[in-house]
Amino acid sequence: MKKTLLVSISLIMTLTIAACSSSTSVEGEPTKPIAKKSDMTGTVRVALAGWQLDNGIDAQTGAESIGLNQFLKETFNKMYPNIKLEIYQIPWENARAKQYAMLLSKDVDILYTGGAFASQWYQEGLLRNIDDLIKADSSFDPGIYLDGIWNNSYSTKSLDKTHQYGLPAILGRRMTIYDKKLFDDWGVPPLSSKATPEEIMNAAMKMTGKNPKTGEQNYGIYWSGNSLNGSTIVGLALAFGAKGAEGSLSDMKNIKWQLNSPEMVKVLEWLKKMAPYAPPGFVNGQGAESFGVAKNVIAIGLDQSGGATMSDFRVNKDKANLDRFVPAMNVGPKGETWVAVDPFVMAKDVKDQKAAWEVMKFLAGPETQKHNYKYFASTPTLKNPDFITAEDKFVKEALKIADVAHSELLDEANPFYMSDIVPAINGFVSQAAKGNAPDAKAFLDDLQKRAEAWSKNLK
Amino acid sequence: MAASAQPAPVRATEPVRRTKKAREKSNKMGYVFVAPLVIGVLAFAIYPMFAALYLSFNQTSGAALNGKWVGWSNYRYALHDPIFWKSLYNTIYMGIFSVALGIVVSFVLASMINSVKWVKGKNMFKGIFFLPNVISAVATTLLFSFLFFPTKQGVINFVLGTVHIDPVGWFTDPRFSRISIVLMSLWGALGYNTIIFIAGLQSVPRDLYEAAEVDGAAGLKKWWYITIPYMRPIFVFMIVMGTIGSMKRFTDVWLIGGTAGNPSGTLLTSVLYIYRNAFLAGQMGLATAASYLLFIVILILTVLLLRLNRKKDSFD
Repeated sequence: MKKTLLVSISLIMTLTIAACSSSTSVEGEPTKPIAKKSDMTGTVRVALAGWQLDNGIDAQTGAESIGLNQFLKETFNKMYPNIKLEIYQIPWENARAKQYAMLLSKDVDILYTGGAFASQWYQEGLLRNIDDLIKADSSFDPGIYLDGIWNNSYSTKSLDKTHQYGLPAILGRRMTIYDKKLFDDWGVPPLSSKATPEEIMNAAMKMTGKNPKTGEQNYGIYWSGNSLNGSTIVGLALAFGAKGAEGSLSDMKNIKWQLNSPEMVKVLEWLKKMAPYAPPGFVNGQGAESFGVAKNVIAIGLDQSGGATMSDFRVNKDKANLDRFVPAMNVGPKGETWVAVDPFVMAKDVKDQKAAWEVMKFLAGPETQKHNYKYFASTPTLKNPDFITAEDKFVKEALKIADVAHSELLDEANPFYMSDIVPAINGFVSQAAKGNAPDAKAFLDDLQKRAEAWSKNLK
Repeated sequence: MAASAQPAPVRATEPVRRTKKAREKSNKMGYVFVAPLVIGVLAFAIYPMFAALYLSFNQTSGAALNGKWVGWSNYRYALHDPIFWKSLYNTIYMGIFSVALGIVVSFVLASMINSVKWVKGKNMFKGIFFLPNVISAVATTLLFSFLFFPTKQGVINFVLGTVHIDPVGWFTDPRFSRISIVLMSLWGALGYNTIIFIAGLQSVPRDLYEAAEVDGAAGLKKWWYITIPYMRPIFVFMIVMGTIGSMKRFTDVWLIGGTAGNPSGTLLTSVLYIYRNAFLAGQMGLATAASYLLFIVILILTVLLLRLNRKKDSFD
């Protein structure tokens, strides 16, 4: 009896695995033969935060994806057959601690990491400048990267912007996206292509409540109320002309904080007014699970990526949702905001510098960016990415925003901004959502005092 | 016969006389055996503790030990920072409720399981209640963020809606957020606490119950006058360990409330404060100073709890 049961279970499992497996082997796209580029020898240790190394299946679309290992086998290994790559994949959840440990123990040459981590490690002297490598390499063209990113991002440039230490590899997407259907249901005119905070506020206030056509509860606006980097705060600060501080991030001791300026008060007043028009879960980063798909009930999303809509399109090939969700520039005066950049950086104690530079260039270069866009929907950092599909309006909008991006002192490279300003304002917003936010000026006066005490403690 | 009956010299009672050389050899072997553990403790426990203490008196960028000596400045800053005190208050608030509720509920549960006569059923209950303990804190948090979703789409609010109760902002309303975290942690820790209590309950001597029965004591009286007093060392262990664990609360509050400890900073705990300063501001000196302040608080609480247990009772 037991044997029969065991055989039956084995048969069922075998059939299930056979039925679920792919009928064809995973192959990369047919590309032109890759020619050998150099006989350069060396071993390069690469630590990648979050990359997929093996082939797999996209959980949302079901499409097969080619992992980095196969991609490198078909490209880099043929171009540089004598450069040995030792690749370490590190999940994003603990990338900071693990990559930091690798840098301290000198066990890594090249890292792909978060922009804020890179900036901090560079300031600690754990990463090297790449100015000399760029200067000595006539084949490297910085002009392929978006100007706004190449010239301004603290994720790749020193805080005084005089040195380059990283190559931008993947861009964060943050734009205003609105639901055209909800605007039509409520009879509200669509947002302009560079919607200002006032315009957004007026529209959002009209679209909170029972939808006049469907009877569903609608919310006028959404932004993440517990965002780590407070990108919405940066966008609004740019829009209202609030600098937050004066000085240089490379000299935090002597920075002159301006957190209680009238412009910053306007930023907080805007957030205070808007908080009741967002879904209640937004204070904990919840409530926008359906934004971008058919069941959506939120009219305007700030700092959205459009990822859900594009995934939905890739699965269903239905343009209805794609037409329904419309991207607009961010809220800065030129449509700009803070743009996240995840770079490739080189360790200060790199073992094989020449080989490491070739690897770094390749992994941050157009070929790899094309691969990452195709299989993982990563946003490129290139000026002319000709591989973007015609339907992908969100990436196109993100590139426009990135091209006008500039870094200010309210940035994730600013330690007090990350550790105190963002959490404090997120806390203020959560109080506003319950209708009991403190007076914005008094709140900012207190924050200003704390910022001054923090800087004083550095002296 | 008589000669063979002579008792042999009793060697066991004689003092063991070993040569100095043999003693040294034996000692050396002992040192070799304990060396891996001692080296491990020195490298991974003692050194980091002293390095952290040194760091707390320095102004550093990152974890490098070559910062600027600033004396008590980091401690002064932390002690004057209202956010530090707020985080400590939240930690103690959630800690007290987590420990009290966790112990009461799991002890009652353990007593009920222990009284089940059906052995297989007893094991089944142990398994069921222990199950949440093997689920990671991240998964538990995700699960509860949907159970406690603040609108009618949330499972709990949906159930409340059926009896005409308006949706509760479990994790979004400052009035409920800390208690919701306590309820979530209660679910996660219930199994472990229950297993420990069951082990303790099985060690209570049967003859005490039998003597009480002869004197006419019923079930609840035996539980109150025999089981609970006899379990005092287990209670103390659970309170001390629970207190230490609660003072280190981080993962769940961080996943739900973010770096702000939203809503309104009610989920900002001491470890979250330390994390913010260490990894977001890069202020390792300040973060380690706050860590030592937290260590002192935990130490004081533990000593107080152990002192409370010094009282003798009839079972000592």
